[in-house]
Amino acid sequence: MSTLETAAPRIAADSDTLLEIRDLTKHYPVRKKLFGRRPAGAVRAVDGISLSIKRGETIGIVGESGCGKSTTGRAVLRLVEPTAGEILFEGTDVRALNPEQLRKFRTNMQMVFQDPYASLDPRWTVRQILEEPLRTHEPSSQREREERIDALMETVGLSPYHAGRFPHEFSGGQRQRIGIARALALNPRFIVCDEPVSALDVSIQSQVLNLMQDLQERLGLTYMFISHDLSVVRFISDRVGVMYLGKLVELAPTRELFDLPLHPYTQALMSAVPQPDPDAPRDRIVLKGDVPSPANPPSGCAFHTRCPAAMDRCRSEMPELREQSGRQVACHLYG
Amino acid sequence: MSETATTLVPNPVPQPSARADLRKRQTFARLLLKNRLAVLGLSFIVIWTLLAVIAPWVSPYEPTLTDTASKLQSPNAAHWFGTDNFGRDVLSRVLYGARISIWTGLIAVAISLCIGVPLGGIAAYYGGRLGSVIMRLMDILLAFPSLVLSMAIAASIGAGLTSAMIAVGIVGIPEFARLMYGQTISLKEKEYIEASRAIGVKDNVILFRHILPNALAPLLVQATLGMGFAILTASSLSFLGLGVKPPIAEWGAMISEGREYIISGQWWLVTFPGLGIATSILGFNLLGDGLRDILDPRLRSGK
Repeated sequence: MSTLETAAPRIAADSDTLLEIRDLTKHYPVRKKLFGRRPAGAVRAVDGISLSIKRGETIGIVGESGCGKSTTGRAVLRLVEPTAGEILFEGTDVRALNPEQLRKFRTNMQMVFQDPYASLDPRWTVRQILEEPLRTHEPSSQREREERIDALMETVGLSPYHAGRFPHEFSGGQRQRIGIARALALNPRFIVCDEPVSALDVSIQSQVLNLMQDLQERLGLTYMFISHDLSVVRFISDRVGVMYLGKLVELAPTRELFDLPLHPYTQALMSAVPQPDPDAPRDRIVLKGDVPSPANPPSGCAFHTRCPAAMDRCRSEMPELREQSGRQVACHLYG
Repeated sequence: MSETATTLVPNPVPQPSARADLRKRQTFARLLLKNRLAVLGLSFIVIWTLLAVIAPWVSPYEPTLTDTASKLQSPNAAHWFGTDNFGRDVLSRVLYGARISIWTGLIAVAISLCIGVPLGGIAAYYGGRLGSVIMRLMDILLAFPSLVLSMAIAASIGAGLTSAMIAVGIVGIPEFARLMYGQTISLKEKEYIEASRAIGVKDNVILFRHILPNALAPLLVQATLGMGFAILTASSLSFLGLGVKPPIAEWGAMISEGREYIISGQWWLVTFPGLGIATSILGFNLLGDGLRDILDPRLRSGK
């Protein structure tokens, strides 16, 4: 365990920005004709996201299904190839790396997946799963790897005694711990967590979240935490970005965002969170209609079709993400 | 299985893996034994393989020993399956024929597997233009009737056992390529493959150590069925004179040599090698079908 802690010291560098994302875009081409060469359009899964992530912070990304949050996480790691934009990891332009450089660079950034039942190869033992990253990147002896695997398992709260077992012999929470151990194996500094607890029972969710927070403190990790569960995001995030139809509509420190959501979409989202107190006054904002298709987003502000506060200007002019008293919001109501 | 309330406390998991593994294997064996047709198929295969192996010791005569004095004898005590027009013992020739047929099947399927599986895997994993080119080539191979194609290939290499094996092997490639293609297409979207990519594992390692093992079950079924196909096609080639050269005993060639005697009543010349072909192919097909039923996850998910 101690090896893990010394391996990743908190870096007090001159710049506290770890990751700078500029105008990140991922479009999936849509071909209309059977033999059409030219794309007839594009699904704008991620449509120009800019974001800078500080060392050691957890940035939460929320939004409903299909808003592009998972694609954003994968595009940052280049697990899906971004269409445009810049990803700067401590000044390194991740998009400019060639495949072999990228393969080596992956030690810096890892991912924890949503479904712990699907993210572990069913034919591999836990030992093999955890050994894979070590074998891939570090020339090491069998014994060194064994020790490292034991340390990793202890770090995530599993007994090394169980390393010879297969994933199906573990519970969902234990599997997710294995997934986290695998992500930690290479001492990454940045981890994209794609809905890491949404497949787990509520009682297990808190354990895994606590573990993740604990690891963050001990290892100085930076998280991008993607979820549709607002209470989970509120618990773990320092700052939260709200996504709608491939765009970031609001980005603010967690407390401020939850206390006073500025964007009408954020307000609607917040009002949907169940309240534990049945007598508490509630202003539930129910949005009309469905999310428009990302293949054919509305003109102007993408949210204007469902926005209770839409103005004429919203239909024609797309609002930029603007600084608004220490937070950022993309809405014509503010500016 | 519930976790303890405090974090970072390991949880004892029941069932050590060795036992669970053993139990899994036992269920597989039990499922196989419960499938009567598969058992029948397996016994045909076991019997023929055994006979092929011990042929030199159990054959009453040399398969190529001619004895014109006792030619075209009907089955009798000295020659259980009778003799052919050169006086060779049909039983011995059938037993030796099993060696050639099973050997041909094995080599041909091995050729199809070793070329088809990597092609299909690469085509699916990388996709794009490379994948299209590979799969369209497979479609072209598949468009020819298999016997015609294997005849063409065998004829162009030159008649002989080796060229028959190669021809049958090449004809079998597209089946395996397509199967592996489909498997890889679905497997490469799995999160554990994405996880390996996120780690930076090399593509060839992902293909061989993650995708191939998970695609093995349907490949095994196809290989079993392919054995039957390979034996039949190789026999057909020999029947047509493109396979083994006389006087080597081979079932297809024996039928070819014996066919002119059917009309004159010497039925045993074609019947016994024909039965050999029929039962061995039946064996592989029954076992293949049985394996497909057993390995099909949709049928097992209820358990």
